[in-house]
Amino acid sequence: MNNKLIVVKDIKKTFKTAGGFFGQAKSVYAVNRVSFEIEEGKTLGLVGESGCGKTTVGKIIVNLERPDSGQVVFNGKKISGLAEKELRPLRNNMQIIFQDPFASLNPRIRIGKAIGETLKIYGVSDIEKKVRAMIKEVGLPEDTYYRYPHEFSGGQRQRICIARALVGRPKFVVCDEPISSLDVSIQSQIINLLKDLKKALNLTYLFISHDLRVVKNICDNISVMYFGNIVEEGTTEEIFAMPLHPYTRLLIASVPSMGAGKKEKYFNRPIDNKTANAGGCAFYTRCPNRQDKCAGEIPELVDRGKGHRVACHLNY
Amino acid sequence: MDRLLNIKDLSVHFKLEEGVSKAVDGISLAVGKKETVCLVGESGSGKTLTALAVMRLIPRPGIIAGGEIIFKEADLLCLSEEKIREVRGAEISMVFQEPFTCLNPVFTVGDQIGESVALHIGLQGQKKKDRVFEVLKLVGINEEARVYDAYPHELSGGMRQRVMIAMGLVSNPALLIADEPTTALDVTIQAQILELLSTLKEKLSLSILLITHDLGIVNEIGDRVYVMYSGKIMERGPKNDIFTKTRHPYTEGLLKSVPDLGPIKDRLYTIPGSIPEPFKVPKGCRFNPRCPYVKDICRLQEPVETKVSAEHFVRCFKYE
Repeated sequence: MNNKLIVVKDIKKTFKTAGGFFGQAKSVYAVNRVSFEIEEGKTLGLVGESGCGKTTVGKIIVNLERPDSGQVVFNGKKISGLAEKELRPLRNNMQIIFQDPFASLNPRIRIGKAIGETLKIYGVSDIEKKVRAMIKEVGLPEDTYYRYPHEFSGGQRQRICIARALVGRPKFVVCDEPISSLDVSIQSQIINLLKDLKKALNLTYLFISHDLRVVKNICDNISVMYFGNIVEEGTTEEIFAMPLHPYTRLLIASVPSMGAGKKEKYFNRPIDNKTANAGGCAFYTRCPNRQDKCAGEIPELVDRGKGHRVACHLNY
Repeated sequence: MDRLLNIKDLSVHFKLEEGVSKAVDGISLAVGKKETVCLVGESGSGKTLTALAVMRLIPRPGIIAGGEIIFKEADLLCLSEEKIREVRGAEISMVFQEPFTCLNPVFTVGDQIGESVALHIGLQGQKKKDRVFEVLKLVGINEEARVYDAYPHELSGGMRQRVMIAMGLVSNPALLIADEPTTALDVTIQAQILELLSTLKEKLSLSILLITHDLGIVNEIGDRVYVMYSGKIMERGPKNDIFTKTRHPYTEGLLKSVPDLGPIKDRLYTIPGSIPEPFKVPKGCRFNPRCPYVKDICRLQEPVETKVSAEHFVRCFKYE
């Protein structure tokens, strides 16, 4: 058994919404009792629609958000609830790559300095040499060091962000939709780069995405999230070969396919109601196979063999 | 073929300090009646500018440097500003990528679609409201009364895009130009919108010019495809020919580099490099620095369009 690098246990996070002039402020569950583990050297894909809480999970793991309850264990050490001072030395081991490389680079700071900044914080020596090596490793030209972000295209900027995240040699990286703002031909370049770097630097990824085509090509395991809950999880092969949750099946059926073969036509109800069905299955309002039981009883994740777990009343 | 829109040799230039950028460099494109034509390419290839040229909405300092845009026998480029307004939004509608930025946040959906109804078909009062309800239903919104009174921020992304499409349909346009209409949406919602476009095409005998960079979407709803690169059409033809009898190395690269739900590959195919900047278009074939089959002639001479089969054309020296 491999070492479990990340263990996430029952994390919960609610956000308060402003209630308007007279309305009452409400709490919205962004993440509701999410648990998973990532083995060292593996990639876990966290999949779901926008607003399902996947980014919040990523942020909680790297401690950019604090969970209301539950805990995150990194490499055997419990990190949620630690004071900032104690977190510092750990932070270098976990990094995050964001979706929009246009928003995540300071336009006035030269690339070399931006990448080197993390090293400076940790008091590493030979910063310039390490930054230059990293620039080379992500496939950017050597003169990148003294240039500014605006001189680079979206794909190159994402390479810069990857270099910045990896220069401190972290063990674990959260990739939050790292390619969804890029062109198709550039997407595949970045996917390959992430795969190569993972091998070369012995990394572990949490890969957050809504694009199943990408997830299938980069992840070892997949967790499907819907409204703050994990509704299905398993190995990539299992999830695609035998999706059990109606939501997973809807996601797979919705992917615009390149193949000529026929796809499963799946019931896709237009919804606008962004509040989930409280007290029952969150997917109830959209589910084509719903039963009375689904309205009033929250399904638990149940193991269906080979580590394939699903939270759905219909699969009993 | 019955042509509704026929773009001939269109050029859009930007005169800037650095020189003249030929963002659209002499392209020809036709859309038939009841046809979905897909214009495919990376960002920066000039697809959106082509669409904006049809609407005569090229932003300054861009100019339409040449060509014709024939729509229903009239050249849109020769129409007066007054006349083009009668076409714009009425006979040709456009749906944009980001539905949130296109809707005014301080007016209700009903107000905004109603304005379009009043402007294009001159209805007022209850009749206007009825027409708004009608188009909302048409785009699959079942709670039309609630959506009518809603402000854009109260709607989800998918609903907003439906509202945008509804707004484009008030005057029964003949042509709908959809510029990356699903890029900002979730995959399940994207599937709904694509389904909606296909249904509308049948129901309203609509022609659609769909701009996208996702070949999966092309495969789902396209009839014919134009592949655009750095301002030029590199390959064009019926969808099946483009997908199964691919000729141009760029099309081939695009098709191969899209991750698919098929067998898991260890490495994805990539097209090396990136699209040239508009001032630094390479000499010869503009794709030559990225092309795996590059020959000497590709660096010297620009290839002309050659015929592959009746409707399938390619601009490449590989087949000469």
